[in-house]
Amino acid sequence: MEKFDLIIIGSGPGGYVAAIRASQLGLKTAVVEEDKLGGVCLNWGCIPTKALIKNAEVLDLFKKGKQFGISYDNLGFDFGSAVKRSRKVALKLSKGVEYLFKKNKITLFPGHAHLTSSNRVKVEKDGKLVNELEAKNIILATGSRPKSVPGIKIDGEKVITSTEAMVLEEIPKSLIIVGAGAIGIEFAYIYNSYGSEVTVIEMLENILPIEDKEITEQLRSSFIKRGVKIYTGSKVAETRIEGKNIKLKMSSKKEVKDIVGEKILVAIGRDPNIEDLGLEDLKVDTDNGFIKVNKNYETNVKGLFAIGDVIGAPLLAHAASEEGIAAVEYIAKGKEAEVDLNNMPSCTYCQPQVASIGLTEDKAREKGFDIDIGRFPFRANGKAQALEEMEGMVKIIVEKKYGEILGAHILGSEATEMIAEIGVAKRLESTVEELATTVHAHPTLSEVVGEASLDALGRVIHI
Amino acid sequence: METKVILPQLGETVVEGTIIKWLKKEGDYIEKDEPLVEISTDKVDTEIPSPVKGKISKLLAKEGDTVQAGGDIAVIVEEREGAEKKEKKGEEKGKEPEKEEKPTEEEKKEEKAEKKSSLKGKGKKITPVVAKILSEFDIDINKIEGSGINGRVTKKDILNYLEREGIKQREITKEEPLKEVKKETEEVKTEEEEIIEMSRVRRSIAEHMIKSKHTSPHVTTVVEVDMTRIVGFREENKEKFQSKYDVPLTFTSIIVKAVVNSLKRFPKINSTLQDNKIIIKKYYNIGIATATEEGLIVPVIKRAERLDIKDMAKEIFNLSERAREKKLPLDALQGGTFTITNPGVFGAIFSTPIIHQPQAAILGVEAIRKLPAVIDDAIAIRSMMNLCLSYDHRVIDGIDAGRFLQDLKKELEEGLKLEV
Repeated sequence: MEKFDLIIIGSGPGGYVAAIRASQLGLKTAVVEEDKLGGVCLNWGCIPTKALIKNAEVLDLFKKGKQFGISYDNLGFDFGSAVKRSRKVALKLSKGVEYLFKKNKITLFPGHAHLTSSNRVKVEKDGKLVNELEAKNIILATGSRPKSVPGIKIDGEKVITSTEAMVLEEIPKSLIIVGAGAIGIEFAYIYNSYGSEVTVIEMLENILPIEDKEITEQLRSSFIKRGVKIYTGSKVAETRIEGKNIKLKMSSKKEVKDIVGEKILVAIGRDPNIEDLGLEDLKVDTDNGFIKVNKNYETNVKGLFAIGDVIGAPLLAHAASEEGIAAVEYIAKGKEAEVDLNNMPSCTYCQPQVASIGLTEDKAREKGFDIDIGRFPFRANGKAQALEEMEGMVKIIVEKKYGEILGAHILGSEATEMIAEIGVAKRLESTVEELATTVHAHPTLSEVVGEASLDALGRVIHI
Repeated sequence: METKVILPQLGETVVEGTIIKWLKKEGDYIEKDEPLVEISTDKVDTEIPSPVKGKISKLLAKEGDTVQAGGDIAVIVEEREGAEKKEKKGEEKGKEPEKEEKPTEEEKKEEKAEKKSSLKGKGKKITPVVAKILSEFDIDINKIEGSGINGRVTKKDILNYLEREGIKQREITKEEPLKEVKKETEEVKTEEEEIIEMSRVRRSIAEHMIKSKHTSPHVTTVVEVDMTRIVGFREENKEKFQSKYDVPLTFTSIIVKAVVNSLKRFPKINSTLQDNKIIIKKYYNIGIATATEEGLIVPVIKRAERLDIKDMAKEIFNLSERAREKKLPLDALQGGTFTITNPGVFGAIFSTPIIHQPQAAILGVEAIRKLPAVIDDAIAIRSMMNLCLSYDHRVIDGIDAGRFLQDLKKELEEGLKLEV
């Protein structure tokens, strides 16, 4: 029985960041991980998909070469090396976490964790008990996995999840993507760029349903222009293998239709990893499968905490990290947690990218705010013209009376980098006046943020 | 004890007043209720009496200055027992505000500057949103505990504080948006457009109208009234009436009489909505919307139920004369329970008046015209008039309004006793 101050189960962006912060605060910390360090984010999510997306962007740029006066014959590509590069990046980062653990003197226990009481964990490997650990506090950071659609069996061959989709050996001739959240939309972008016939089916009325409608409508037409077929307000039912292809039955208010494709990618959401952890015996409260926690991320069992995807929305790596830090600071210093979900940016890395923070226009109105809206299109920005990246806009939602920035929404080639500025502004509780009078270097894409802010104040310059 | 004399709210839509003349000097003694200063506003000129007995230590405004309603105009040190003590105290105290006054004014300026630049509220860290909120309230930021980074006061902190202390907003937001509008119009100026600065009266009318429309869901219902009987009566009596009482016999005085009679039978029309309670007024103070050179003004006929047609005519004449001369006492503009407006004098035959808050309804009296009317299947020439009632649908339903108007129609056509 080894004793620690804190045991963390899972080493994704929630778990490993929490472990480092715990060690900084002087807690003797152990992490149990049954797979590679870094969790889904580093190994099977955020990072490897960004590598694939970069490949798709490079390919897109080559396709646009003529616009820049660059010509070539026989443009060819090898998806295999794109996958290989993405695996290399993932591995490098996983190694990076290993290094960080050593640097911070965090003890890693490879294996599967099972809670035997509220402060004890047994670690098993290949079904055999390898360690028993004890700590006053335990943090569950076990994450999530792709969710399946009832009636559609995921076989990893014809019907796949994001995990398989990032290591395909060949580009499928056609790909049906079920679910138009960030994951579905990013893969739609990748495979469309690589030449697949992509069809996206979404149950809700809009793609990227949590984002601002005006933004997603623009993205939708951009995708349609690229040749992606999109069906929203549509449900999927059953599948049937037809030779090399698979047929999917789809129904909307308007029609019932069969769609045929080489593969189906299911990306309708994620299920929490709560099984086989011993949670039932401890009677840990859950809600819809997700672990229930209080403001300081403690479950109904004293000393047992949970953070990240396993406690539910927002299922974002940076949210998990923030929650992990907050939970550890509460454990070590009794500091009440203050993670503001309203200041949590959300990013989708298709092209043009989508990034947002705070309330959408609809949400702001729903909450009864009296609002002003500032908009500015990239089309009217000099740098965007020079880069040939004119798609999209910046939209800022401002509370009328005091000018507080309630939300911001960006569609554009560098949207995910640009949203950080508004994150700072919101964190400082800026009014739109501060954002509008911040000098943005010329020529930059960020000027569009300044202009959109000016627009909210009725003082826009370049339009 | 030091008492600050403030400029009272002089009528419902008056936001500021101009000091015409100080009737006392600094250092003078003044009795309670003794006139202290003459004030002129858009609507009335009046004297402000001293709220306390004591020595005037400081006059805070010069003659000719314009002061916001609610603003301080003088400091009086109240009298206490013991002559010597009183004297000394009076003087010491008298000086204190002088000393204090300057720094506080400077501090205020500083505070404002700081809010704009470094976002420090007197040494406290605050956020830009908090700075904006602070500019609308008279509060000491040091009393608020900051929960943000390094004790920074956040929006949540200040909103919690305001809620806990029950602090209401200062009345300055009103002007700002209007100023903004002005700026914008200046920008679009061309030679074919002229810009007129909104007068104070215009601004307060504008605010009042917006407030009313935002407060009450307005509905307007119209009835047509056969005024032939009343037109006949007036024709017959107007000369005699004029020579006897020296005031004209107006339709308005007759209509007000009829309205009061009908209001008595339909109490909800003469009411006010306040905190989810409908307050039925059992007295009838009828406001008469009157156009003056300076703008719209609503003198009130107090206790109209006690007046007959003759007295009503006198009262209305009296009020409108004084209104024109800007000599209305404050009191005459307040306390209305129902309002009558008379677009008919300009030939209008239909209108949708805006309710005079916090009343529940307003009656538009339209022009009387000779029109063909069908009586017992025969066509006759009759003097017809429309009555347009706008009412607050939160309090009054269509059925109430309809019944009231039918009653009023009947009152005018046959019920009302016509005698002078």
